[in-house]
Amino acid sequence: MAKMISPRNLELLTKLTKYSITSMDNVMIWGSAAGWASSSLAHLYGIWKNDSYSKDQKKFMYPQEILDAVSNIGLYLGITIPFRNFAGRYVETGKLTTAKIRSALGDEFEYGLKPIDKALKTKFKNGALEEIAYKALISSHNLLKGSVKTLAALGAGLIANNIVTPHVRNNTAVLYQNVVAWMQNKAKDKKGALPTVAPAVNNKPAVTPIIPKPYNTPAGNPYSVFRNGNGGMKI
Amino acid sequence: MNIRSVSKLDNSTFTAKVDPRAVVHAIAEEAAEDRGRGKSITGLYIRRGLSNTLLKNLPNITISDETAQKIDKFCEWCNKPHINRAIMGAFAILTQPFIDMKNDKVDEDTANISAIRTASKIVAGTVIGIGIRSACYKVSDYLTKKEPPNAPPRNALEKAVRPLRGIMAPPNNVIRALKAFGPFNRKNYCSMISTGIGFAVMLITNPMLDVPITNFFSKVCVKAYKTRKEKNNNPSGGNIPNQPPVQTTPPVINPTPTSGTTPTKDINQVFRDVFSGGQGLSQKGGIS
Repeated sequence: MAKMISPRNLELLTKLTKYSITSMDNVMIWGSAAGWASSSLAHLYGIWKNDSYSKDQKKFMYPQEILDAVSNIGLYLGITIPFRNFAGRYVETGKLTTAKIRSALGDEFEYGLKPIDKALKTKFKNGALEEIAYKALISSHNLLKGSVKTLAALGAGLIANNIVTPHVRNNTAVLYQNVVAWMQNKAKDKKGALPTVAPAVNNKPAVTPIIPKPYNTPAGNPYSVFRNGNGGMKI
Repeated sequence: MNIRSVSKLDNSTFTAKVDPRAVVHAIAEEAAEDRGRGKSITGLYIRRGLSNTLLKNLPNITISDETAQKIDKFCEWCNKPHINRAIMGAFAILTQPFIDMKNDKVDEDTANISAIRTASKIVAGTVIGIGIRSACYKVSDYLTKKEPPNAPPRNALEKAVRPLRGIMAPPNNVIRALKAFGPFNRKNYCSMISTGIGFAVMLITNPMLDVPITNFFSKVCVKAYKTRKEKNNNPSGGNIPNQPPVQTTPPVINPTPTSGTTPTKDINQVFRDVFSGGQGLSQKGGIS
């Protein structure tokens, strides 16, 4: 029995079908980005619900998680989309195309500058191409363009996810840690307390303690409030 | 002869020397079209200029129709969400833990624990992700497959869900109308639907399954790592003969006066707590 489809459903199905024909690369890219976002949301929820973390720890972990998600998704989209677009143009302008399309366009066509579907259309309008041949060429061109864009999105996504993002993530984490420690030091310094030593990273202080260095002159820095009688530093 | 100016893979031997006027002309045509459609053309000249110059210098590549079909088949396979997740997971487990392990900005212990957490997250995320996505693919396959005529349901479950079969399948007239955009591929369509369903499902399963399993894996692995490290450092099991026990007190950094007031937790202590559990640095391991 044939199913009845309402006009609204028909519109939705038409949109989905058109999207599946033309933009599978977008499905891959935005599906992955949505995956990242949902994963980060889940981790935020996990931190919120985890009673083993103190309030202070949570205060530190929320921004770190958000920063992590923003940098991950931003990098993924920032690398994948331009790469995908460039791959799309590579096919669109005929730099990568099938032998049949190249023979139909000939060598005089400026490959790499103009979209070949327009050139094929012009040829069809001029009568140089039959309708069946024109439609077949356009169809194979669109198919190849979609495939190459999807492959480019996959390749760029692999590079972005697995090589660029981990490096940037590690650096961002250390940077965030240093910024928080620096802010803490600054706040304590204002209150008049001794400057705190920042968390050790690789057995070294992550932030240089705010201690004035001695001048090389024997008398020391004459303007320093830390100066003692011997020209050394009084800390 | 300039290699960059010669189209190597093309049979023709024409030189593809860049003509700046042609590049500018092509961009101007495109800009005029964009302007006609009411689109902004800010930055178009720069972007297209770079892209066109690069394109003009790259070699022409000609492939046969069979190769194009093979590429399409491969893409159709990659587009399936569970296959995509498997590819991502496989590459992630091969690279990310090693990058974390080689992180020279943290000490060795933190780097190792961070790598363990990353690996745990990748394994848990990939296994759960593949399972859920493949189930979603099966569901969307059922929703997009048209009903075969007079096929009796095989079991009670199929009888119950029979009305749902093919409700997302596009009608033939829609497929015919959209032929100009390219051939309709039901598998790609099914992948797209299952990606959407999978995302909705994973919004629920990520906090319910992914996070606890990742934490469980990482706790087990970190414990095993620490035990192994202790054994390696102290093969006799912790009893060093003929030596008095050394009382170790942690170094006091920035002592705060505690008399009369409750001491507030120092941020450095927070860091130490966080990093000693391997929580702080790089706990992410890829998409889920």
